[in-house]
Amino acid sequence: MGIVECVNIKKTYHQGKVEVKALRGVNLSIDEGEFVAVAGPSGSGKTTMLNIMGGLDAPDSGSVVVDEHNFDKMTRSELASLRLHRVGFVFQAYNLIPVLSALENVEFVMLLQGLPQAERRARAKSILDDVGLEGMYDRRPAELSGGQQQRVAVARAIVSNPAIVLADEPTANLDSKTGHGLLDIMEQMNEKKKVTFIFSTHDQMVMDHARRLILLRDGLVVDDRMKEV
Amino acid sequence: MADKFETKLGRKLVLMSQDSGREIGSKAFRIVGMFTAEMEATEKQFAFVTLRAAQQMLKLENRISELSIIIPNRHEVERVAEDLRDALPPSTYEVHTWRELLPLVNAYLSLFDIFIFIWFLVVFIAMGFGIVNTTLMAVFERIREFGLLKALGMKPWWIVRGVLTESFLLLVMGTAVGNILSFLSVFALSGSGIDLSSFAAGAEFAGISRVIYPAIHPKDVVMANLVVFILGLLVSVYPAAKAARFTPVEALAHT
Repeated sequence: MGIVECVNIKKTYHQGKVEVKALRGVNLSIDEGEFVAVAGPSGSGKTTMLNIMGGLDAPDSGSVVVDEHNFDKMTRSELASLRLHRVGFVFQAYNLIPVLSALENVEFVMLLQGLPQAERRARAKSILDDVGLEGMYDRRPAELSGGQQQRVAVARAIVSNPAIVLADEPTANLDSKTGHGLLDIMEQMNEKKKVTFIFSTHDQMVMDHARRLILLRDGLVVDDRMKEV
Repeated sequence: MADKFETKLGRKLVLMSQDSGREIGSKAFRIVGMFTAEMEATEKQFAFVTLRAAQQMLKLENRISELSIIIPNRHEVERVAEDLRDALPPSTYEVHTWRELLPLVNAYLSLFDIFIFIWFLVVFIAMGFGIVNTTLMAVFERIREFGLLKALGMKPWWIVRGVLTESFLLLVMGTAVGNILSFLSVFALSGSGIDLSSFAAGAEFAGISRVIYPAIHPKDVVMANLVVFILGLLVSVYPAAKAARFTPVEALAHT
């Protein structure tokens, strides 16, 4: 069984009187340690798919199992707990907490987990070093570049050793060089820590880095292929 | 009364009344002093003479017709009246409280209590809406933040707890400032009082003094603070629950 199992996922949004079928029956199985890109044009349903895999949104029908946890049988609170301990998120807009420093942003997840301060601090510093932000611990998001902010977001996503990291268009707001650097870091984390990365993207660079490419179109998987390493 | 009878200090005034033998009793008195009462009706109603002179005029010998007692604590009136009724022979003495003797004032005070209750109700409802409004604004301004916290794994209950804690701190600060301001204003006004001379006619009608001296009763302070706290926390549950109910996707999409 894969770390992520999605069976016949359907999701329809209602925008006023208009129905938008975001997902029309998606089946996916992703194994532990994979580096996967879910690609497709705008409106193909990739972000919706990622949100559903992360328990941020619920499907209208179908079942989702992440790290052997079936979302159908979980309460909101249990889903939050699963996200806290087993799922990391990297957002397109970074979504760091502006009043906290880089170190505190990374520590925050561990704070919610109830880890002691000394351990939090040591792990946060270590992971920030890993993503190339040594010496920038005390900088607030506003004092960091877009690429640096996204690295903090990556550090926050992987610091608590999640089973999967879901990255929604992580390079969309970055220039190609910064984006490339960020993808290298995530690739290293994937290899070093065996964290499963799942991206939603329409950036060719992300698709090039991914070892597996899943193509979505109009809410359906139209292609799913492993790439030559 | 002096104006009415066109008299003044030093002159004589003849008082007449029914005496104990149901005859007309009268006696001339020299005016040795005048008094000013809060209500003009009081001035017109009373002329004070010595007990001995009154007993002579009314042929009461050494008896008296009425004895008024002022009790330091007004809440003790009923109990003291009851004790007196038990202690004195009912065939000779009648014991009445001021509430029995002044039914109009009593009714007015009951009505006033209702007005005060309604006034408090309106104030507390307004306060409740104020707190809901402030907390809702604070919640809506930070919807994205709550969405992010939920996405990162914060449980809905923790968000409720966070919003309620903020409301609690707001209430602590609000009541602290409110209490300090009220203590200061009461302290400042307790010496000179609040002069209602410009509303004297109305004040007279209401049977209250022309000058009100504000005072603080610990029980009122505790009750008011307690009501503010409980009501404040209760009405904060709605914005807190609202913050916790947004799905992370809805909240993160909020602009």
